[in-house]
Amino acid sequence: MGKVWAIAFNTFKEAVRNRILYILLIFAIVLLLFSGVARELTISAQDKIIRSLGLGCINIFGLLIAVFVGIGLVYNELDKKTIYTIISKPIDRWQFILGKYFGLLLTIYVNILIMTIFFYLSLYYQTFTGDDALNKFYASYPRGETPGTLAYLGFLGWAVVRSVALTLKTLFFFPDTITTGLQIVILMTCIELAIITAFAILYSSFSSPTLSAILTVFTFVIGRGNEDIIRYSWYLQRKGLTTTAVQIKYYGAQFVAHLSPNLKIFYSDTSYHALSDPPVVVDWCAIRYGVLYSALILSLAVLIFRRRDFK
Amino acid sequence: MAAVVETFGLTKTYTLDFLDVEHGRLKLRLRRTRRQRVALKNLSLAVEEGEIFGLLGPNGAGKTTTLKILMGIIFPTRGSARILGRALGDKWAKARLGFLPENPYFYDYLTGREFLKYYGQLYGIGRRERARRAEALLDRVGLRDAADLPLKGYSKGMLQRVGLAQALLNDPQIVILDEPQSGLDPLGRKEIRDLILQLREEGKTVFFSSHILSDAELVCDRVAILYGGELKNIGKLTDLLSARIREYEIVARGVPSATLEQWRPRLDRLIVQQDEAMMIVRQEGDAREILANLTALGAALVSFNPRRETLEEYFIAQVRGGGHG
Amino acid sequence: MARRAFWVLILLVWFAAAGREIYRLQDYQIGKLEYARPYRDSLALPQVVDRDRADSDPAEEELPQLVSVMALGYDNMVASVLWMRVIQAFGAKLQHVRENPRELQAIENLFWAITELDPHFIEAYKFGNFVIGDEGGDQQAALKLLDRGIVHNYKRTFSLPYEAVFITLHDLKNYKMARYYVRLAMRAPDCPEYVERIENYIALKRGNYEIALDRWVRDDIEAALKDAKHILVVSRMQLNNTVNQWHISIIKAAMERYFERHQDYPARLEQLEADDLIGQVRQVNGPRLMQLLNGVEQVRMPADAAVDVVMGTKDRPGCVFESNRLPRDLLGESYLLVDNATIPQQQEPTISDRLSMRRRTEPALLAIRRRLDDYRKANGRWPAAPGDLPEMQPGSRELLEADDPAGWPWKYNPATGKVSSYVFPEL
Repeated sequence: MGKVWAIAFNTFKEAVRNRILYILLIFAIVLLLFSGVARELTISAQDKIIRSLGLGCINIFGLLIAVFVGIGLVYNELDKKTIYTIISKPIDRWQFILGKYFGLLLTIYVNILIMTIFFYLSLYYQTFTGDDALNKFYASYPRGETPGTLAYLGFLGWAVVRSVALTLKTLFFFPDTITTGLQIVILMTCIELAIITAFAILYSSFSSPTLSAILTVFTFVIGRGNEDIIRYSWYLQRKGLTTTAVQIKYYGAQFVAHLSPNLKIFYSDTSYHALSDPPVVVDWCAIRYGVLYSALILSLAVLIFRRRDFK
Repeated sequence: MAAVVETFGLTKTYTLDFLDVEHGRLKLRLRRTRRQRVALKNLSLAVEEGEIFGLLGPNGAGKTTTLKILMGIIFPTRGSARILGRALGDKWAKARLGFLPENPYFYDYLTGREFLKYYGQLYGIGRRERARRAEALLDRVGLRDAADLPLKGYSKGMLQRVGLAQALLNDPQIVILDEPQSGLDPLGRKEIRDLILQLREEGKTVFFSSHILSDAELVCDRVAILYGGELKNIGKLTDLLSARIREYEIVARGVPSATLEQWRPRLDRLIVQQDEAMMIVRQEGDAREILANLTALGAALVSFNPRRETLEEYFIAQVRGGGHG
Repeated sequence: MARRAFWVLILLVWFAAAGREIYRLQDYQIGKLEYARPYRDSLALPQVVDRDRADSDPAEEELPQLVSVMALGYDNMVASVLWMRVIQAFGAKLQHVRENPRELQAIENLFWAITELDPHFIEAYKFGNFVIGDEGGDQQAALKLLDRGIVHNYKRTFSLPYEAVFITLHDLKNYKMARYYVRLAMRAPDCPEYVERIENYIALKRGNYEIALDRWVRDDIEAALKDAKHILVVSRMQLNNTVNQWHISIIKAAMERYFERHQDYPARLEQLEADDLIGQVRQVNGPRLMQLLNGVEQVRMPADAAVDVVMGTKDRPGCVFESNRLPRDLLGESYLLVDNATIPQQQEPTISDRLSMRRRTEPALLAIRRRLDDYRKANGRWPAAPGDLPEMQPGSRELLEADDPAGWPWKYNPATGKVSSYVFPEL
């Protein structure tokens, strides 16, 4: 609906003004470019280092943006009373919440896009300056001669140019074998962040920024540890549910695990990281889960928001 | 005429929080002992179409609470209200309302023009129409030159003006203003008064709240007086204030002080400032006598002002007395 | 009122449906947990803490399972960071790893943590094997790590079973396990072809000489087919080696039986022959035999004694013992002929069949050789085609124009005058 989009776009513009966003983004870019350097610290498996570090960075910083920008979203509107004139317009409260959600999601996705660009850049740069490329470069000189500094810089510069070209090519939907599987992982990250953002909006609609930050991080940690909580409850079951304490632990663990989102569902097939396997297939189950869960949490947020007095 | 805004027994009770800090200590309140603050008690009023209605009262009387309930910002504990015949929160009705809150605060980073266009989007106005109306309203409130500055740099008066602009964006039937003159200089207050009158000329209903009674007296058709959350009185100004002249104020120049001393017992108040003397008498006869004597004395009459009961006096009497006057 | 009830109903239905779907998907995912990572028992920490470990780096002594829980889903990233850490740690503790078992345990814990987090990290297993096994000396632990890697990366890569082969072959000397790992390695799609030949070596080590011989012969045939000279060299050498080992084992056993009978070791091989312990000996190459019979004390066999066994050298084929306990095939430059007429297609020709085929063809081929040489002497060049040779023996021409007895076509090189085929690489 047009009004939801109006609020979403306005939220996006407001979030973009947030200074924390730029700090996080700069940090993320530095880390991503650093991962290109990190290969010097290892004797092998440079490829894997860059990929896993890059994907992890994108995930973490997406989460941080969701938390730091999302917690203040609804609260600031209420605190600064900008919401008074919005509510007095012919607009539903759920449209407002949805607008805030999609605005935040848009901010996160734009930032992820920027981080992905730098990630691809460092990936391609690594392939062009990796061991085999370097060996070919040295081999192109006759035996006994070593390339001068200028030639080496030219080699690096050419690697940079080609990385940029390939990145642009990948962005305009001409996929490269290196990045196809990574795209899917980043897509899964986006869906996971949709759930976390929904939780951030939910908490922000009834509590202060600090409390919402804590609650969102808790939700994230419990969501990621969901599988381990389940395994723990199975372990208790294997040991035998004899005493009341153990039973409380068992049922408590089951309850928490079923109530919280299972965020590892998006990362169940990460074997791609280790080898250059053919890309993984899109896990439609996980996408369905993510979309449904965020919708559920958002409806909860809308319900809470409906009868709330704005003091 | 039809009533455009009606409230029926509107009540709002705030229950203090379950967990709170009191006297420096954390206090847990059980249901029985939780204190309640009554912000509004059983308010029933009706605003007619095309009139200027003032909701008056001191700070904390419940004026802002009433307006917030009407706009759907908070919800009443008991009672109901209708706007243009629709229940609260109805979007059709909201589309015909314009609202300006007290001490408005808007998005810092938007320029005036962008701000109005954004709110136009929220009204569901089309793109071209939005732009047109934004320009027209910027002209009307006199913000043409500041239209491209971010709202962050606006002064309070400019914020108030842009707030008015956004309230009029959809050409509303009813304009609701919460303390529109708060924090404005006299020039600003005059502009607001003129605007309100202008809106009535256009056939709109204006419902505003204020604690500046003198301004309200100048523009309102009907007023409601709120005190302590209760409706003390409601009606036309002319009905409420007695038409009886309470006192006469005479300012004259060049009256010899001996004469002034002579007249002093009959005067209610006498203020002498250099050459001028302001005399306040209650009886009409005394006033006539003074006026007649002035010419005999060779003094000049600066002003002669018969004063009726002001709203302020009426209000204070009401509040002190507590009941219908 | 009805409208409100309607919306409440819609809301309840939506929550119920969405909740049910979410529960179902979550249960499906949890169900998959049963089969994934069976070695993890993550939050079940042991109750006992070892209090003796006072002065070691606690972070590296922690259980690997903890890391996988605390990584909170960022498993691959933490694995990469730990990988960088372990490389630095290895560089720092290089001297101490062998002396101090606690350091070794710390590094080993790091490797287990990395593989716990990312079980598909092949480099970690390889490097772990190197550090723990080669540098630290604990081959058993290294093998355990490799086993874990093989389980998690079954059929993914050959390198992990390949490393395990080396451990079992050289350090543990468990040849059955080595053969198991070689077969595991061969199941991986990227297995290079030289891994197969390790099994030949294993068979030799285990004493299965005939199997080893058979395998080398097969490899030699394939190498000649693919014209892979490097493999041909290796296979020839290994064939000689196998035969030599076989001969040595037989001679050793015969010598031990001789000792049992006569309480003395024999001075000459004919003594063994006279005692009917080995078959007839044709030729002898003394120093070569001395080289090969290292296990026997030289004092029992004088250095200058003439021995009657010929062993394979580069130009001469190995010998044949007439006893039926010894290999009957002649393993020299060209061998293993199969007579297609007498042996059915499915059956692999035995070694003896190939020898008989060669024996039958050889005279004719030698005749052709003589004719080619005569032609050269007469005309100063090799003939353009073998059919140009005049006065060939009857049957030689047919021989040349047809395929060789094993079924491979003859090739004639006019520039060098060499006639060859698959089983007769050079005449």
